Amino acid sequence: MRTRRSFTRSLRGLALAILSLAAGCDTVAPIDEQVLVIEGYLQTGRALPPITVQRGQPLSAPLDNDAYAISDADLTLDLDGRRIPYAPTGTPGQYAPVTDENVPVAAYARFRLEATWRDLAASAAGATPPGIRLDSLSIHIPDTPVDAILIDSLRLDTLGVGAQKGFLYPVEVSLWWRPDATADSAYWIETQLRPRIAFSSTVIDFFLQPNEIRLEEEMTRLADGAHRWTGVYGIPVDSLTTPFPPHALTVYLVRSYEDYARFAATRDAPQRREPASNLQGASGIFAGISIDSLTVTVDATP
Amino acid sequence: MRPDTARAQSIQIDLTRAPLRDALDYLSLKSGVDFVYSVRLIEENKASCRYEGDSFDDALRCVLADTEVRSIALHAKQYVLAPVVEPGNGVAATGLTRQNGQVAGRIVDHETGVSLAGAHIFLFSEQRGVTSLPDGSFTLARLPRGEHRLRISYLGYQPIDTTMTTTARPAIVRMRPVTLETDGLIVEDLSPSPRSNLPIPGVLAISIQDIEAMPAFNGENDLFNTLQWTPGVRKEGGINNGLLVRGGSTDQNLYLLDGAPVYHPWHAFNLVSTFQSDTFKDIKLYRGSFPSQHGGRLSSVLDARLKDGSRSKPQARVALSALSGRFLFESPLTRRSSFMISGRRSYLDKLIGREHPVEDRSGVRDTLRTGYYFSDFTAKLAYKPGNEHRLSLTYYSGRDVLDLRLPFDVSLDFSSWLRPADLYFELDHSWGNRLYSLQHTYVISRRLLLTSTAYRTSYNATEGALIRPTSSAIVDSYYHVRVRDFGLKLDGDFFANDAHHLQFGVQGIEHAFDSQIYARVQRTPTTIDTTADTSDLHATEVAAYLEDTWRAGQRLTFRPGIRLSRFSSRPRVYVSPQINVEYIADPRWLTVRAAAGQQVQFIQRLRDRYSLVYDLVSSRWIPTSQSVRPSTGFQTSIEGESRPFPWLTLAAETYIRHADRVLIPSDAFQTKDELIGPGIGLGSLLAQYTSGESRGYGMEYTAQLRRGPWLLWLNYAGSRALIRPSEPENAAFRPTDYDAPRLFRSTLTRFFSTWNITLSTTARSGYPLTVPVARYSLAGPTGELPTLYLSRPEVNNGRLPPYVRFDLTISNRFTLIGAQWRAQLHVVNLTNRRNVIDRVYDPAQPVVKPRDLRGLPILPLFELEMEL
Repeated sequence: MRTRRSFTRSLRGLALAILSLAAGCDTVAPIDEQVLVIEGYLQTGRALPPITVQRGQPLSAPLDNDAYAISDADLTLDLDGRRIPYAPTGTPGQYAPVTDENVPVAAYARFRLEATWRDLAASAAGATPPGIRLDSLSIHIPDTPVDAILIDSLRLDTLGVGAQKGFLYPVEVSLWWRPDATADSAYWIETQLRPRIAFSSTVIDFFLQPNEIRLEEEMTRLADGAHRWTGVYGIPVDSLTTPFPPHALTVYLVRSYEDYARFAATRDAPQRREPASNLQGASGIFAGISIDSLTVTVDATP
Repeated sequence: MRPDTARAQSIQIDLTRAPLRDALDYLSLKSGVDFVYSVRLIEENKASCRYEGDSFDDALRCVLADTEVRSIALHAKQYVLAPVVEPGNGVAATGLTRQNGQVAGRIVDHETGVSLAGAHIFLFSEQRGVTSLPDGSFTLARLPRGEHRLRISYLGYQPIDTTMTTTARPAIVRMRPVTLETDGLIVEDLSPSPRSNLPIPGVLAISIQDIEAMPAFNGENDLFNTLQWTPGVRKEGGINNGLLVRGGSTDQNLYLLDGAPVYHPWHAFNLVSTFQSDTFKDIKLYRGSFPSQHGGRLSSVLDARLKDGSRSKPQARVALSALSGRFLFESPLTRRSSFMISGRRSYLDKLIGREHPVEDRSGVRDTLRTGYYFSDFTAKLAYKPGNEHRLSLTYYSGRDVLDLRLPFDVSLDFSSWLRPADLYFELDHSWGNRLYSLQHTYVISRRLLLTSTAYRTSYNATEGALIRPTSSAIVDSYYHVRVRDFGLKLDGDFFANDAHHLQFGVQGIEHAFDSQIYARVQRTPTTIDTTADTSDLHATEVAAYLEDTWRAGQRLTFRPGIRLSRFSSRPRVYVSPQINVEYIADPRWLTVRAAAGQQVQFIQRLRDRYSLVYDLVSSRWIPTSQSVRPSTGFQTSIEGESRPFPWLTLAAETYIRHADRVLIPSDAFQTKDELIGPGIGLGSLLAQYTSGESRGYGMEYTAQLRRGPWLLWLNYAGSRALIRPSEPENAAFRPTDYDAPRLFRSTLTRFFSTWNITLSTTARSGYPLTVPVARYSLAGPTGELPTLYLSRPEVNNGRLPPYVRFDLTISNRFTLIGAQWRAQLHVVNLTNRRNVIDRVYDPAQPVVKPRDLRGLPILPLFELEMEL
């Protein structure tokens, strides 16, 4: 009896050994690493910007932005040959330029940011694009809302997608602006329609297109040389008879080089990815942009 | 001592000067006995006999009574037929030692008469062997006159140990497919090895029996499913991917059907192969090192040859699985010709209906559509006008069709959405291959054989979409992609002498790749974007090769080869050298094979990584051009094989592979999340990829045990597959998405009289996963609320938990209403273990914990097959 039991035990041990050899525990557990995160935007025609520096927070603890803000980093900005040191402002993780000058950032300025914190070093380099100015804007509101499917994801990995039918006003907004005289083919344009109303449907945005990032030279150009872009955003309502709800709309027009464009194009899927960074040695972004915006009230009443 | 008497069913013979061959075929059919004989001997004799009973010996005696043929029983199931020896004649005398004798013959399938190429004929007395030619013939020359004992083996067939006499008359050797149960007699002396007899490491020869014995995930015995049970072969997930062989990418495999390439050999979104298993005569998978005859890919070559059709009698088979119904019919047409046709179609659309007329209370009508099916049709006509010529014509056509019109809120609760839909999506997709191949084999002399092949193959895919997410927004797109090849090949075999077998040939392929897109995106009635583009590329690929199988001694074989190839868009000739070596240290204990070789690949398969309306189920092949250099690869491997007992084969193989200039996605995180991508132009597509290198290495161990009613197959592979993009410069090698350092697979089969039970195990490392290491927030330049992100500094820096699955297959053969039936039940994931197949992270959670996505639960599937 004992022999049989020990044989069974040996057999079980052998099976376990084979299994662990065959499919051993090679799962790599995530390890919290020191991640330096820097964010700042050099805007053409504006004053030198503040820069925020933080470190990545562990996944296993609740968020605590102040605790992970870095206030003892060394930051230096080289702008067209001028070295501009940055110092903490008192707000956790925020740095401001240490200079008496209050000169706006020029277009086509070349910059290099260097940051060090403990044994981590990061840098970013680039240039500022020419300024951009929103020439005009037009808004078209339909008379009645339309039927719309409200759904969060098009990924049909389950048959229960939780789609609902609702109603919305598709608001059409057209923007006009002038290209820069340099007509550099490397300029990118980001357009954003941001209504001040709580509504989010990834899928509807997907079809309506309230945002876009494209090479400027590929955007519609009119006979007078101006660029035009038309986007559509949705305002949900309860029924087909609900009147159009007035709301504020902010329109953004951003010109940049590829570094910011890549960042902007990859920042809308935080569950899947982090935005593409132009920093060596850190996450985040430090890029040159020019920006213009306009906030209007959108109301259907004449 | 006479072997056990063969048992036979009731035998009735009534012949008057009937061809002896027919009488023997009848006896063979009734008793399961194999006859080995010279064709001329048998054709010269007629049988006259009347017999009724169940004794095989008496029946045979009766049949041979008035002939000049005698029988020699080798064992219960095998008889050699020889001329009746007159005293003093000395025809069959043994012991003569002059070295000018030879034995020759032709090896054919016992049931179908199809020639078996590549069978191994081993001469015990001389410890040497040859392989049969494409027409099944073989010659062993320079032998002492007299009788010689031979072993003839071929994968998937019962090996034959026989004695042949040196004679000018070639014998026909009829080999029986391996049947583990024959009238209750269990055949033990089977070759358990699926490894090829070629002196090349890593070559797998797959038999139909292998395919039928393997568990089927989709409820249908399938070639690609079987291949996944062999070392180093796995299937990549996703709806349009394919097989991964030793870590190579899916486009690095060449799939050949009767010599012609098939570009997309998958049905049902990558679930089953387009190849119907029971249409095959011969399947070889070259993993890494392949003959110089084949080229144009870096990773592997699957060389599948279709049956010629039965030469002896009509045969029909119909089958129904959980996925599809199929048929196969093969028959002789004349004495010199035969044909085979087979077809298959899925039937889910027939069950649930393709069109659903619906009406709501207000009288609005609509027709929803839920159509999906796949089908394929294979036909082959074989004609042998004489002993020197053999002609075959192959046609294959396979297609998948997806036709949907559904509301967005589709779910399993039909009542919730089976109504007129004003917001809906329609998909009208179809894709498939079509192939014609004409092959002519000309035996110019006993030493020279030429095979010429002309083929036309095409892959067509159309993706149409009509999406209406709001009553004022419509997306209407049409996308079409096509690959067409026209190829000519001339392959030669020259048997210079016993030591040298030269293979040579030239090949030319005209490639045409074209695609077009038209998409109209209406966001509102006045905001409309239109995209229209076409791409049309042509290229010519020519190649020549020479290879010598040099048997340097009884134990040592070299196989050096060289392939020269040129692509029209590149200015130079690419040289691909190969060397294979086989050393039989001991026929029983150790055979060592080694190989090293270089390959070049001129076309690569890419997908648009942005657009949701095109390249969804299809993909585009792009040729090497001025801007895209061909990929080159190098692989070396060494294999040791041992057969310490007739029922046991052990093998171990190690390999290292490296490829340059493979295309790797520039952005590993990019998925199709845009409506229209950057366009279908080559530049737009290439901008999504970067050149890089891939590397793989590993050890593969195989043990196969086939004894009595038991069959055990164990595979373990320890391997790595790594890639490194060329940008950034300091990028390190990282695991590919399907890198699995440890993979164990086993199948254990118990054969009963009419039942078979197979238990299969898969256990492997989890696939790589990109694990975040921290989280942070960014606000953006426009003052919006900060967004939380997860820091993922490295791609594929972690792994999913190990994957373990057990499957069970129960099979029963029975006779009903005059037909042979086989019923199979496949139970996938027997233990209902919900393996983790993906893991997602949400940065907005208070504490970031992974959420696991799990695989399928236990899944029973059936298959029923009837043979007439």
